[in-house]
Amino acid sequence: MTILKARSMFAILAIVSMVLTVNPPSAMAHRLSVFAILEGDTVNGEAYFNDGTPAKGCPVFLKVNKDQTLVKGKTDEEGLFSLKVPSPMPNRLEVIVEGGAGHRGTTTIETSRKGNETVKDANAKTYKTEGISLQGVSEEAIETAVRKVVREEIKPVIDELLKLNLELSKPGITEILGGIGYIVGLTGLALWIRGKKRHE
Amino acid sequence: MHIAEGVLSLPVLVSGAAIATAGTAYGIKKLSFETIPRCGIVSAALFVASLIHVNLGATSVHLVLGGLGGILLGWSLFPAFLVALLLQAVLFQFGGLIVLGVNVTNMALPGILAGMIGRAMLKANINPFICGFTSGLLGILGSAACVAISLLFRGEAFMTSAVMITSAHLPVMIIEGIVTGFIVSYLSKTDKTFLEGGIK
Repeated sequence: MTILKARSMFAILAIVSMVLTVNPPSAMAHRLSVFAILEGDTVNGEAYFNDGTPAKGCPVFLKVNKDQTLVKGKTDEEGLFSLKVPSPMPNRLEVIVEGGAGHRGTTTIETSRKGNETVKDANAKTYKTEGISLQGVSEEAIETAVRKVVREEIKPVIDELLKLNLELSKPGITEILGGIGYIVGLTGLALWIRGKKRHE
Repeated sequence: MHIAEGVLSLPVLVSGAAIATAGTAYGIKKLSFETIPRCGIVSAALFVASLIHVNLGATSVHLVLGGLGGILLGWSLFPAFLVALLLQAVLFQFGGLIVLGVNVTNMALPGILAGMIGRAMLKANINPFICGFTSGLLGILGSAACVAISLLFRGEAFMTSAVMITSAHLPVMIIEGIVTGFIVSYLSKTDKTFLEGGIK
């Protein structure tokens, strides 16, 4: 037993030192989750494995359909990516992150509602707010400014969403116990069938 | 270890499914009334094993337990993995339903072979810890090789991806070896009949 203990201690030490030096890519997780949103004409997003480790330096593709890749990029050290979409903006964008070793995460963004919502307010050019005349300011400038403010305002909400998404991508105790229950049931079923055959 | 949906080409998917179907049919045929509970327990262990993430350094690893399953179940490891991976795909979105056959084959086949080696070593009266360690290590090594072969037809050069996947799984190989070693040496002390369980 002491030999066994010494041996396993040695092995554990070996693993620890190996991991500390080699630091292999996170290839043993099983699921790659992608979360992406469209901000203006830029797709910002995050990719992480199901245990919460970010997918570092992985290729990211923006696709219109299966064969047509619009933009290619890479995730950074925190698994974040930011890709500019060339105009015209397609109605639907597929975001694909390749994690290597058979890992792949996808998500789609519906872009069609953007762009259509440009408010055509005839009074826009004569608005007066707190004494500052907006006369002469182009609609585009107002839109850009509003977009910028809104983006900053909703940043905490988006961060919270990202966190929630990460939490949700981890398996919960309900699923785990449910799965074990299924296996117990299947075993019982198999025993029942075999038992009946044995009886006959 | 789990290959994601949409990564593999059709011939790989079809051959994986064919091997898994044949293996499962053969494995079920080999099951006897006495060994069904064992198959269920191993299946539950396989189902849970990949949920337990051990954080090592910057990455995290999880167990597969293919080698242990091979020692305990022989060819009946196929149905055990099929059930475990099916539930993982449905409940946790690990892998997927279309790639299920390939994933089952990649984990079960090397596990069975590693189990055969472990059984032969046990019968030759080699220290049970070493037998278990060898099986556990070879199971992961074989699975990593199978994943690399599956990805071969996708244009990822075999040698680079094999080296990448294997090096990423080095820590898992050793941890799995230690865990399997302890379980096998415990079983050989407490239950001398565990090898003669009727599964050959």
